[in-house]
Amino acid sequence: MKRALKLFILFLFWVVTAAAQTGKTGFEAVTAAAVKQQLAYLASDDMMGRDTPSAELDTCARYIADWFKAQGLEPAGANTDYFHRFNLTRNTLGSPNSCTLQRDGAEQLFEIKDDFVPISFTANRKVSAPVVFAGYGITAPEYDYDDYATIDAKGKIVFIFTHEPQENDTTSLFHTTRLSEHSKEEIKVMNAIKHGAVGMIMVTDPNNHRFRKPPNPWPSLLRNAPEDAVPLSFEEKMDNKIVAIRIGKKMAEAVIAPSGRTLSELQSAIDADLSNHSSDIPGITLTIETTLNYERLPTQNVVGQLRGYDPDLSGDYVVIGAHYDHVGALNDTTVFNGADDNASGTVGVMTLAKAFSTVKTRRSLLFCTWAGEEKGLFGSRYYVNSDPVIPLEKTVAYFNMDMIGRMDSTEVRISGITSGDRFRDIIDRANAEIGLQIIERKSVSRSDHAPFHDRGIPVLGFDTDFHPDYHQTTDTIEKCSPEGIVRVCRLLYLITREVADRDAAPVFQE
Amino acid sequence: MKKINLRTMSILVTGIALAAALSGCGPKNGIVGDPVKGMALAYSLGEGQSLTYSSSITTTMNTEQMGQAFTIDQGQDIEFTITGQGKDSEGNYISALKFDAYTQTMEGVPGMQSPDVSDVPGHVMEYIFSPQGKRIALNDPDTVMIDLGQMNGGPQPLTAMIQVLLASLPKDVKKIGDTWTDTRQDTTQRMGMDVINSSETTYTIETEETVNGYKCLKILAETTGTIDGSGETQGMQLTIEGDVETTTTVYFAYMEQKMVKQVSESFSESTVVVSGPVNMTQPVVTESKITVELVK
Repeated sequence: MKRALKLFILFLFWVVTAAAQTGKTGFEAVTAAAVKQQLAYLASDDMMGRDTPSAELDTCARYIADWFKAQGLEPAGANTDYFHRFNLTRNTLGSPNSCTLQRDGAEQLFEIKDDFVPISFTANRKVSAPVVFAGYGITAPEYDYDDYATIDAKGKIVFIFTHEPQENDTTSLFHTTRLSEHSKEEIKVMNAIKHGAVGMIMVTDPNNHRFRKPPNPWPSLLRNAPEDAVPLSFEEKMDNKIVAIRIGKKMAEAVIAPSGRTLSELQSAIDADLSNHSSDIPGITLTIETTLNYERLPTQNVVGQLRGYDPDLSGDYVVIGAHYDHVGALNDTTVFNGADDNASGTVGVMTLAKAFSTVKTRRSLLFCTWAGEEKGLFGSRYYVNSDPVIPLEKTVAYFNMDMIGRMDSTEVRISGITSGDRFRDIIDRANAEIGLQIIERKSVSRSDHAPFHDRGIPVLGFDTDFHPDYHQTTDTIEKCSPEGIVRVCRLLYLITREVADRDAAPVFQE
Repeated sequence: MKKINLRTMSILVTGIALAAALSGCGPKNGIVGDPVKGMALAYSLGEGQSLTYSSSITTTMNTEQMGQAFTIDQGQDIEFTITGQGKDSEGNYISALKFDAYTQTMEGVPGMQSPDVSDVPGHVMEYIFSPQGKRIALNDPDTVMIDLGQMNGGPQPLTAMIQVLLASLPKDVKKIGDTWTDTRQDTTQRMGMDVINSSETTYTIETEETVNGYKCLKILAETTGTIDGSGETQGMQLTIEGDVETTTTVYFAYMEQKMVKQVSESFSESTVVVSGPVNMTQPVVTESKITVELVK
């Protein structure tokens, strides 16, 4: 109650001071005074480290949404307010979980942990079905590769390898700088569902990865770990969920034995020429039961738009974003304020929303603040992969700010410069006016620009580097430089203007 | 900004896996005068005498986060020279350990960078070891630090990076064909955790073999063990649980009383749990290969 009252008073304070800021437009609106005030609100102890999900994060969401509204931003897409809602879950291992192989009238019982573990989005169900080997469980039409092409998986349990074919072959169709989307568990489960399977068992591909037991993601199977120490995950929308488990060497060898081939032979045969070696495994039935407990955790991104004025280009969007969550608090007195990470970037988005609210651009602008970044880029991943408010093909660029509050000198780090064909020139032109020292980062995987980049959208990510206060209770407001945030925002303002106004949209480059 | 966990974990798990791998790998008992009838094995390092070794450690860590697999490769190549400086009151050798060359690499996760180790070549620290090769102390009064980067645990002392130098030898008299088993439990501190390495090692003095011109005893050690650790660091509760398998082969020149070569391969499967502001349970598979070879 006391905290609620304090939040209310803080909110009133903000409303009053926000109303007092008038008259400044565009570039001029980016001022240290405004930045400082918003930073003080978002990174205050009362916000309890903005954990995802939490009441304090919801308070921050309302604060940002009200700011968007005050600047004249409109809700975007199908949303009637500024909240882009999604559900996370915390899954814990329930009971029962069992696995039995029937062969020639005999039964072999397997042990959870040593022989099998349920994966985090298995169905709460018991199935009993024949087994079909389905290679890596991948259907990749772009490579003319389909492990399901020669089998009927309907009503069966598919037995597949993890990872992807020819993993260590740099000349492989599948080879990129990292494993492709096809290698993800979730994608493999969805593909099995699509092919009518009722269950899936996955084993580590043996030729590239040594293993004995299945990899265990459940703390309750350990002796000394807190049972709830499991990461959040998306609430799965997969229709007709199936039973899905990871298995160890002992069980894998028992299941594949009737085929007369070894796992290693099968993998070698596939990897040799990407040929199909899927087939029914004769004479066996697997009975698998998995049980998880699901706790639903609703949360939200905050999204607002400013429409462009050019009828030919206003359907295209430049998206500017930052995550507004942090890692929470241990208790009332040990708060991870996250002033730099990432109240600073959130303030950057709010500041640019204000700056552009009085300056029309040809293309439209979408301003986003993401929840759940610290727990696994949940907000931005949900937006990109499940519910893009603006169709991705209409998104010409995404600009991200994450930890822009510690500019000690004049340095700003920018990642993704090579992801857009003219970004380097655009940045140089903008920076000629701002005068920062730009340090290029090679990685685009560290923050919310990664999901956009993964989908082929040109991205830029701005930060002012890591520091010893990173993810510590010492990441506090007084250590941030509002003037530094202003300089980053002014640079991004000029970059955004050019990208939003130029005739040609940036072209994505790998 | 995110991602500290995967990288920090890579350092943590690699260190623990190597420590566990090496905890039981050296023969621990034995001594005599003839490899067929039995002999006592011990190092000898006279004052001013030098031994130069090259050492190579490669570690591959496979882990999964939210259904996506990652591989992190780490490597460490060292050339070092041990120069005798006498013995302490307990008969342990005191030596100067000089790093003639040192490289350390880390790659796999985007953004991961190999550390700057330019301060290491030429650096000297004190290395005290027992006649059976047990490390008694590694003293570095100048405390060279290697900055692994904020994302990887920050600056770490060089002494923490030195996983293996000389192999341990048996205290008791042993002869070719002898096999014995040893169980041990060591507790080490890592990142705020008390990590208990429990292991059972079967040792065999297999044969006599000439390696690099030296007549050597080939000593095989096969270890299976468990890792159990828990503790708190930076407001996070950390727990690790796993299994380790290690095979080590030591070639010891019994006449010259020096190690000629040591090769160790280790495999561990573990689960690391982080709770507190960040909740995470992450399975990790680590494979390591260590080679230490006498150069001169």
